[in-house]
Order: sequence, then C-alpha cells, then structure tokens
Amino acid sequence: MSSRYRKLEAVVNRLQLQHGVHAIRRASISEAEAPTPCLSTAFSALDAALADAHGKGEKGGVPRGRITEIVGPATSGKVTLAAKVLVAAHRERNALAAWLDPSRTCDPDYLHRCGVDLDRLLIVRPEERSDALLIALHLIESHTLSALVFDGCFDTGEGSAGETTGALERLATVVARTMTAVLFLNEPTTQHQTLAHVATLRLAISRERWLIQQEDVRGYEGHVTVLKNKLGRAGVVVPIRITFNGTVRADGL
Amino acid sequence: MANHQVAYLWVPHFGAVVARQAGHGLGRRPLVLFDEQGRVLAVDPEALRAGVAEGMTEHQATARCPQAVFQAASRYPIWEAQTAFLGQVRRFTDRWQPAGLGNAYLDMDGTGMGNGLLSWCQSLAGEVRRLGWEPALGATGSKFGASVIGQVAGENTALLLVPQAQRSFLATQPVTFLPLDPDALTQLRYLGIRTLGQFARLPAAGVLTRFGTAGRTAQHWAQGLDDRPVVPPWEALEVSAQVEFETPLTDRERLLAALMRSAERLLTPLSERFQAVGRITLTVTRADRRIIPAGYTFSQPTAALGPVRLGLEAALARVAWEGQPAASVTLTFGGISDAPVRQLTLLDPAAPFGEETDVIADSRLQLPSSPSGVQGLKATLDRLAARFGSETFRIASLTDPDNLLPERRASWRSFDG
Repeated sequence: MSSRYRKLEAVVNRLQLQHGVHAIRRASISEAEAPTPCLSTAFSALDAALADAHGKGEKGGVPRGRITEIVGPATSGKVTLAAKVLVAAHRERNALAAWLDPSRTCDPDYLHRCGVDLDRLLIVRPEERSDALLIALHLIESHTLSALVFDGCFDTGEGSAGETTGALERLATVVARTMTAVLFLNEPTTQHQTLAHVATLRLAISRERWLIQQEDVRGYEGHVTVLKNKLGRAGVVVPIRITFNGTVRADGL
Repeated sequence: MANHQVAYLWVPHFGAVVARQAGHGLGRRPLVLFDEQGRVLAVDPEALRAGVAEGMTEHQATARCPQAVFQAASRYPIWEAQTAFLGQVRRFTDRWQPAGLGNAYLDMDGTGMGNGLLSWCQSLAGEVRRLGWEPALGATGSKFGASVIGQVAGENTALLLVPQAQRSFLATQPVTFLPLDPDALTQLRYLGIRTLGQFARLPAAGVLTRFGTAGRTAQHWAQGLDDRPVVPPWEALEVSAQVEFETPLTDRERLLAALMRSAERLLTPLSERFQAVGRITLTVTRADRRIIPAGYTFSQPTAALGPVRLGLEAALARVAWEGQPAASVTLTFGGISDAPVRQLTLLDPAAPFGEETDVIADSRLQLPSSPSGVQGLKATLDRLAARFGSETFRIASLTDPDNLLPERRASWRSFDG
C-alpha cells in the first residue's frame, strides 16, 4: 500500500512540475468549507437566497472568483442587476471593474444612475466581437479587477464553436485563481451550453409588470429564478422590485 | 564619409521669443501663436509644459492651456526674424538648409574652419546671440544625430560629438525624437519601446511590417545611419502631377477632390522619407486656353493632408476664373525639405496628440492614484492596446448629464491610470 502511495505521489509531483501545482491537488475539507467571498446584488431577498450553502452567517451574493450567468429578455433587469454588483465591487478602496461591451450598447448615464463609479469602470468595446472573450481572459489574468461584466453574446469567430468552448473553459480556470466576479449577461436565445456548464451561478430574470405612478413609469417588478448554484440552493424564485426616479434603486438597497 | 559633419542650429521657442520681443502687454501668461490655417505655429515653454504642441488646433490648445494668450503669428515680425536668422547662418557655410522657424542645418564640410571647430561654433552662436536670441547647437556625423544633440543641448549650449560616438549617444535618448506619426509613437509606447536604442534593436522585418517604409527609415536613423545631405533652398526638389478633365470643370469641390487625389499620390513617398512641402503651385489651364498660375506658401513645411487641403483651397481661391471652367491643372509641390524638427518637452513625455481626439480637461476623470491595481491594469492595457487598438479601452464620463439624448451625455477618454 505504501509503495503504491509513493508511486502515486511521484506521478503527482511530476504532473505538478509539468502542468503547475493547480493541475492536480488533494481535495481539502477545510478548503471546501471556507465561505466563498461574494458581492451583494443589492436585492436583499436575492442575497439571502444566494447565501452560502454552508451557512456560517455569511451574506450571500454573486460569488467572486467564479462565473455567474444572468439570463433574461430585453428590459428584464440584467444590466441593473449587474450594475448593482459593480456598485458593491466599488465599495472596496481603489477597486476597478470592467464592462465588456462588444455590442456597443453600454449606457454610462444609466450605470451612473445605478451608482457605478464611472472613473473606476473600464469600458471595453472591441472592434471585432470575436476578440471580446480573449480580452476578458487577459483582463482577468491581470488580477486587477474586482468584477467584470460581459454584456452580449460572444463567439470566437465563424464556425468555431470548439474554440469558444475551449476559451470558456480556460476562462473558468483563470477566474478561479482570481478574486474577480465575472458576470455574463445573455438573452435566452443566445445561451451557450459550455457557459451554462462552467458557470457557478445561473440566474434567470424576468419582468412581470411595470410600476406606474401618475402615468409615469417608475419601475418594474419581476422575479429572479436561481437556475443553478454550485454554492447553495438552486430552484429558488425571488421577487424583485426596481424603481427609478433619477437614480435607479433596487429593493433592499 | 566618416568625417562628414553636420551642425544643427536652433533657437528654442523661436516664434514665441520673437513675439515677446515685439509684443507689448503679453505679460507673463503662456503664449500660443497660430498660423493662418488656425494651427499652432509656435508656443513658449509654459504653454509647452501645459501640453500645447505645434500643429494642434485652437480647440485642442485651449483645452490644454486655457490661461494662455492666443494670437495670430501674423501680428508679429516672425518672418523678418527668420530671414535675419538664416542670413547669419549663410555667412558661415555655403550649404545650409532651413528646418522650420529658427532651425537650420549647416554642412560643416568645406567651411574652411580647419581645426577651429569650437571657435567656428562659438562665433556662429555669438552672431545669433547678437540678434537677441539664445541658440543651441549640436554637431555630429548626420542630420538626425545633430538635431537630437542640439535639442538635448538646450539654450546657449553647443554639444559636439564625434560621428563614431553618435550611435551610443542616440541609444539613450527618447524614441519620441523620431518624426514618426502619433499613432506609431503610441504603438511604441504600448510596446514598451522608450529609447532610440530599444527601437534600433528591433528586428528590421518586424519594423517594416508594423510601421512601413517610414518606420524602417526611422530605425536607420536611430542606428545612426542617416546619410541625408544638407540641401540648400535653391537645390530643393519639386514634384508635380497634371490633372486633365474630359469635360471642363466649374465645380470647385470636384476640382479640389481631384487635386487631393493627386496630392495624396505625391505626398505618400515624401512622408515615407520624412520630407515636407514648402509651397504649392497650381497652373490652371482654363477652357479658353488661358494659363493662370496661383500659389500658396506654408508657414512651416508640411506633408499632412489637412494643411495641404487648406493650402489647395487657398490657392484655388486665388485663381482668376472669370467664369471659365478648368480644362486641366498642374499641381506642383515645391520647396521640398526635411519635415521640421518638432520641439519636445523632454521632462514631460506627454502622449502624442491625434487630429481631433481632444482630451477633455476634467479633473474628475483622473483615476484614484493607487497603487498596484491601477498600475497593473495599465500595464495590461498597454499590451492589449498594441494588439486590439487603444480605442477599445475607454473610461466614460458624464460631461453633459442634462442632454436630452442619453448617448450624448457621456464622453470618452482613454484609460491613462
């Protein structure tokens, strides 16, 4: 038994030399129990639903060092939810964040109304849509971002589904070594199987009704469904309310 | 050829110095002078430190130094001063070449100075000083080397370098001495190429691929290999092209567009050799067979399309059309010389400016000074910008928050840490 153990240890050492210490590791109970640091979504009910599966009284939210996918149709609140996560990220002193905007639809005015500090938000608008994923990878690898939002569908070129899958898997590996919360905002029609696989958290957001006050739209109500949560309970449905009157407020902020 | 010597004589901030000598009531405020095309022609040290550079538009200059005095250069006797400056230069050598306002190259061969190199330099500088200016002089084996040495020397100083030591001297100087276009200099900055020595050591094929023929020429200069002769004004080259119209043209816009196409073809090889055009001559053959000449002289030689277009417009406006259409036009670029040496502020290596990419002067845009986060991200972005383009990475700022159109409320700037 001991000779087999020594042989295995030698193989592991060789593999670690060749592929890095992260390539092969012994599972550690204490590491698994350590709570994952999170960024608040500003929706208190959602934060509570996303609280760590192991409890310990930690406040929940979007996990750092993990990939989160937010799926929802247009004007369902994806950008608002992501913006509120950036606000939480910016609470740290000198924290920087990035917004990948391959579709060039990012509205700095709206982000500002949500409370995002634009001076600390890098907005990335690549000329080629296919460059976006690669740029995201490089930015995350720099270990300088607290959060990164990828808004819009992505691909790495025509007819290269395999490349996209490979890039997403590499992204997941790189993100795991950082403290960056990575959020992908997707329409239901542009979901990617590999992204669903590598994401730690998947949220489906939908709008139910507009909040109208004196004939003015003052916000809307909707709900968030936790489709997948590797760190806690999945399948939870959380009602949310977004109101705007100059500034955009989330229920619970 | 090894003993060939070229001197570069210049008066720092020549235009501003002359204007201050002639002008009253300018006080101590920074001074910016414009040419007749509305571009910055000359600046004084204070305006230069604030980021104003020659060739900028009035808008760009105002954004960088709003407290400056902005005036037209034509108000001051700058051209008379330039003539007086060149008058002194030609007394010391037969072969001399103007290189912009208050700048000239002198061929030191055949000046009969013998071994009295130092006394020759001293008497040349003394004559210029007698006119009330404080010149600087650099001398070595090539024009580019002499211009760099002269600029490093500074006012009232002469630096003489044996040609053999030229390459090692250039190696430590900033790469911004090269007359590359702002985009190329930005790329070099992103690639971490700061000195002429680093640029000289880059693989030749890579430089040619990324920066073209002009980049390769610049690399030769950085290596101390610049064999351009000193070309006196009377030997300056001319290039010309003829444009004939199947049906005589009366539409001035179409005429200008046709001339610009010819101008582009003529200017491209000049730009690659870092040469510039001193004057435009148009010879218009009207439909009634009469030949009408018209011309335009630039305040500073240029090879940029913008000023050339304005020059062509001015020349066309001077043609006596008398209601006749044009049957053909011969476009001649004369006074071809080296592009003027750009005066740099060596202490503040500001990013090169683009045509109309204004940086909005807004202190709120400054990122918090931090530490490793910002610096680390900046290093990453420098690398990424070289690959994906600097316009890809931006910081937004709400400069017009009350605009009715949401997309017009924000403006963009690059991430500069």
